Amino acid sequence: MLAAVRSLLLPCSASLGLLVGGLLALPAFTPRKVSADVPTISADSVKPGMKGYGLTVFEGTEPTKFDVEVIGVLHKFRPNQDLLLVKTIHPRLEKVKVVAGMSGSPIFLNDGPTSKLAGAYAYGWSFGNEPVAGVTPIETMQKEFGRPLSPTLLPKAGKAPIGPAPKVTPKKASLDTEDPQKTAWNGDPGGYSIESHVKQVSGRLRPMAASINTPQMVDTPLMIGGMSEQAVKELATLLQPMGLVPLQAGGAGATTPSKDAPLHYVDGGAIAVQLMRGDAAAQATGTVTHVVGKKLLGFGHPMMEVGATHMPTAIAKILWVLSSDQRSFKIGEPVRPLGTLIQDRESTIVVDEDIVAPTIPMKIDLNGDPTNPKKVWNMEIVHDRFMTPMWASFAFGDAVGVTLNDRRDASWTLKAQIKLKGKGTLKFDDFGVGPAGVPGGMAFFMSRAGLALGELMNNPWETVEIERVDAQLDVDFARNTVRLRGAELLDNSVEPGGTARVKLTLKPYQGKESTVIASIKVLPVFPANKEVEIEVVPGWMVMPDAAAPENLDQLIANLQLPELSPKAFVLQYKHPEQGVALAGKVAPKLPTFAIDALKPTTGTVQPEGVVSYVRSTTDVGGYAEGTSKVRVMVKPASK
Amino acid sequence: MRSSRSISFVVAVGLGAVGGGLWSAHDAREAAAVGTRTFELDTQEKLSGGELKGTSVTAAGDVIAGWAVSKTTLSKGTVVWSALALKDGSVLLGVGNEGRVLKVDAGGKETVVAETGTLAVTALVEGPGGKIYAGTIPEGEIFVVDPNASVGTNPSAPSAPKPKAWSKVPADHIWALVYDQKRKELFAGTGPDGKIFRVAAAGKAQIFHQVEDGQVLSLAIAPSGTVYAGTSSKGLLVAISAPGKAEVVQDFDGHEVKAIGFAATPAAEAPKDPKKPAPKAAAPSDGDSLYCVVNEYGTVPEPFKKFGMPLKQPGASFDPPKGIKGKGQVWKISGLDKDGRNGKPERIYADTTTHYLSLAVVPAPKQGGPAVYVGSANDGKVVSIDDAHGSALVAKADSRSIGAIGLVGNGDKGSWFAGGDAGVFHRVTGVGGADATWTSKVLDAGLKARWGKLNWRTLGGAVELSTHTGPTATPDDSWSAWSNPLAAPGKATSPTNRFVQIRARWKGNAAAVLRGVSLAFVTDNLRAIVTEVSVPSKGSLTSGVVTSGADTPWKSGSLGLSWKTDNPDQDVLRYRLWYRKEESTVWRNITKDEEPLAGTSYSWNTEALAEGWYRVRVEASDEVSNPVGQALKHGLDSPPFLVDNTPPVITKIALANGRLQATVVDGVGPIVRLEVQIDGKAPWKPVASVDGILDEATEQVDAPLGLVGSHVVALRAYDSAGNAVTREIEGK
Repeated sequence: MLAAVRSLLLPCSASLGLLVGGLLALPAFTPRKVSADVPTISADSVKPGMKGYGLTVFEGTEPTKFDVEVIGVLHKFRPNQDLLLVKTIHPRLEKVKVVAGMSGSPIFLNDGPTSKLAGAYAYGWSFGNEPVAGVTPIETMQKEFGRPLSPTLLPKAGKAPIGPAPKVTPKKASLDTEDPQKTAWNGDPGGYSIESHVKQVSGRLRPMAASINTPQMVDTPLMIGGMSEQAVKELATLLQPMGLVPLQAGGAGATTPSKDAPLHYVDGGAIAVQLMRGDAAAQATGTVTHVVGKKLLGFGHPMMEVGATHMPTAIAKILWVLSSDQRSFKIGEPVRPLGTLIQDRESTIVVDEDIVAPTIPMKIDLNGDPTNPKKVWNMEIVHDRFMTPMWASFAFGDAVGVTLNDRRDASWTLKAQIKLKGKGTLKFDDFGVGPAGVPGGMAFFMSRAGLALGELMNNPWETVEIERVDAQLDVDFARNTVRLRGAELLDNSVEPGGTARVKLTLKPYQGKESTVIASIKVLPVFPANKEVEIEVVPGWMVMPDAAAPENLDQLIANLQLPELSPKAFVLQYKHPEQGVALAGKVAPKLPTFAIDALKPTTGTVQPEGVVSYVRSTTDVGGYAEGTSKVRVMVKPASK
Repeated sequence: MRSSRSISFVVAVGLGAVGGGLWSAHDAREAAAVGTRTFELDTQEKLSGGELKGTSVTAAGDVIAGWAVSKTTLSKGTVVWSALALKDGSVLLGVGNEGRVLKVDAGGKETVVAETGTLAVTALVEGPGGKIYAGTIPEGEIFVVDPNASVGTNPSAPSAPKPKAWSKVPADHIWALVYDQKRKELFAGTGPDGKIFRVAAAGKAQIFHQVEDGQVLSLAIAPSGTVYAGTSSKGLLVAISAPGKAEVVQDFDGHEVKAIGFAATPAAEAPKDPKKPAPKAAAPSDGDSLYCVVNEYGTVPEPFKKFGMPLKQPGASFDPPKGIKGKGQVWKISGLDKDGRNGKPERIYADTTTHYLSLAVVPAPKQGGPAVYVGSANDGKVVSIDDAHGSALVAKADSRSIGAIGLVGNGDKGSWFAGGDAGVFHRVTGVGGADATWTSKVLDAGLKARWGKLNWRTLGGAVELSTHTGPTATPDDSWSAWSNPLAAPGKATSPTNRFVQIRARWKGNAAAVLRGVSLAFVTDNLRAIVTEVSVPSKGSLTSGVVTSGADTPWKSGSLGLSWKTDNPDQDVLRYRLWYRKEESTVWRNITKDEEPLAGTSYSWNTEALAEGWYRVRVEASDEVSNPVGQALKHGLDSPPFLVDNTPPVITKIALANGRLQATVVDGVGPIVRLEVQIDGKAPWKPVASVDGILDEATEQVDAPLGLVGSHVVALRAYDSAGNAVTREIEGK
């Protein structure tokens, strides 16, 4: 892979395809069933030997009962939380032991003649060979019902792209969260990196268990659909530390309800948190513990423990429970988008059916391969400062990967547009040249578009709303590179203000070696007998000069700075005069008095010093590779 | 100069360091009177550093009538880059890093005229019909601003106008604008490609000339119509008499020509005697004269190179930079031909402590009076310079740099200067006058002092002097009130204190010249303490480890004594030395009582002394600085040291079977080195004593020398005082 991803300011595709048709299809109205409230039993009242049952979905959408017997209670298992230990008794569970995806399954215990809700199936042991689970007490989970929502989680009248019953007025979740620091990028504006963001977040969330002998939260299977095996593998390295276990599961991640899908969540039913849905999908799957009114508790542990949040959820259908010595897991797919995950807390998740999560429609047009049967990809991705850049990058990678699937040499460009509410549409160009092979999603972590999403959504000044992302992938099945074999000065000295000529020897892939004369003026500010070092670098290696952004508009302006052509070589040398950057402005090549004057000693609002360069570009027709340096002497003027 | 009234952002000149701050008693001159010292303020450096109000300090050390100024603190501008005086008496200021145009009206009120959205408004000039152009960095934009559209600076004031750029020249930076009334054209000096643009009325820019340098920092149009440009970083002064016709007038030994100003053609002076014919004005053939400011810098460190977008966290703070200090010069080039040739350059001012930013040429200089005013970049100085190389510190702003100076008349009332870092505007409210005062910097007597005569000399008129004193280095409430003024030299009446300031008031006589100010004082007498007396280690056992068997002891009949004292009141001290044998109680003179020492060391010849252990006493006395009866003294004894003037004696020596046997005896000992030489051939080689330790006055030698056959062996022994004895023996 050449330089992976760089951007160019190029005309964008104006095509803004929508998912509208499918997304707005609403189910016929059916009166909803609200789970009747049930009596509960506190951990203090639970005794070893008590028996009862649990509810979970082993197949389909209907919960199945399984028997339980209390082994004991681990008091103060976590701060302010006990843990019930139960044996789970069911023919299927004898085989599969502890199952990822069962998290949240309600456990009822017989207290005299009454079955009382005791808690949620939530913990297990790695490599455990007994069907023994830890149960998060229901009273701990119920506290999260009472947790006030973020004051910024305002109910707004809005039209849901995927709505529940029409009589329900959907509330649109705010983009602000109560505790943004949980998933925020902690770094300087302009220095965003998806990989380091993932590291930061995984460090803050869900620490690793002390040992395999310690009860661990039962993993949450992240069912992936429409993505390559490589993407799933990459996702595993990123998300597994956070307790999300990516599984290639198929299923597009419903954007429209299945005909036979239940209309509402039920206790013990399967629930999916939809991080991405459409032609590529990712959903975290667990079990509903208890439905109260329009809200529900689930999982018995956090999904990632990000606090107040807004991610779309769906009723899920379980296809099978796969058995594994290390970790058995449910495999399934969403069947009815419904509601929003509003709290992701230590002991539970909380979902509100009546809130519609903001999502970002994403469309990718794939061009250049006439044999590609699917030329348009439509997806929705979660609107989240942590998740969005990652899933968008994976979507880009998936689109490129699918298009290049035949593994021929290929060059491609990805022209992305990010529509930002109130700020217009930003355009980004990325390109890549591969000798063979499919770049994964992580390769697009360095894409201009992916990084821009991260920069924008994690900016420290104000909340931004991404309205949609569109991209156009153009593939040319040729390895369109031009490698620099060497650079040679035609004249080893120039007069002040003269032009230095450099012969570049170029070798196109599968082409004949050629030469091109590149030239750059040596400015008269260089005195005679001064040696000037001229670098030869590909255009894509040259970063535009920019001032450190001090507000969102400056950040956007920096993201849209024009860059040099990746199909050009650049001659450049340092200008002897330095520059400064401040307040969105770059002032290069300043005389000394001005540098002094621009840096007042009486204040701390200071410009940043920048090195000034003089540059010239030479188009070479292909993606430039390689660097070189030559030195030219400034000779005394002849006149 | 017939262009506009643009005040370009110029650079500077230098007085020899006109420092501020405290002047301590260490600098005070010892007076002839016992115990009395004097602060003598007789140079520009010593007279500067305090406050000048309606006064200035010349390089010759005269305090003369100067500028009294009012002050407007600029709340909307950090650094003043450019300025333009308007007809109504107000002044427009181009400031950074906010890119604003401010206006300070005749009453000193600050308003905002325009927000250009740039980093700095680097040039302001008035064009046809009163149109005002503002040149900016860093995008080469020229704005047309309306000075009447200004808004207040209070938070509730409406937003200042944000004009659109009238012209955008194809260059990053505009450093200078000048409007040619004859050509009806606006010229813009730019960087970083050294281009001078001619900007038409519609804002369209066209290259007029490109210099062989990077930045065109200054522009001026000569009476002849030739455009002069000052450049950076080669420091060129270029004359462009027509497009494509340029001449390098001067390649200065500096990096930038920051400002240029043309001298007006001298006007004919009115005859003092009406009967005599008026002197002729300078003939046109004398050519044009210009002044320019030239700066020179050291290496500016390259900023750290970063990759990617610059980073900054909101709220991040940085330590403010210390600033760049260059060196400034002011040059006069006279006799310039129309095309810029044949000029006669003359450096009329130089300052190694700061570079300069602003220049204003006196339109009609008086004989011997200032020809130009320049403003410094590092210490807020406004300096006047005359053609005879004389200079005076005219004013000192409460800011680091003086970005612009504007003159009314020859620097009369109404003149102004604007400073940056922090932003300030000063207007001259008068020259000299009843309120004119000169205040010295704070003078430090070192200790609480009583004040004597306050003396001064005047020329051409009277001034009154007074003092105030206090216990702190910075005047505050603890200081006394200013004393009643003295119309003639006399005793200062301020209370006893450590610190003092002197103030002179001009009583309305603008012609008065003050010079040679002095103030006598006496501090409380504190005793000088001798803190250490040192006797050299060689030849004694008093100072650490003495080598034996290694270096040859050094023998000298003289002993070098030295001592240290703590002298809190800086009195002149005299020292007396005594000695005694350790077992004696009688101190005997080393120095004569009537010839005390002034230094802190003494070479004492001990050859006449009997061998033994001695001590020396050093006594310090401040009798020279204090009257009889008030002098104080203090003495300190040295550690004991050995005086040994007699060499050892080799009482027995024998050489048999290749072994040397001997006995060496000294009077007071110990023996510190024994060495032998075989057959008179160097080198001497050390031998050990029988017990292996050279620590006694008597040592035995029994050393196998490994000799075969007959040889002459010489044995030499040293005592610790370096006395030596040698004996030879021949044997086998």
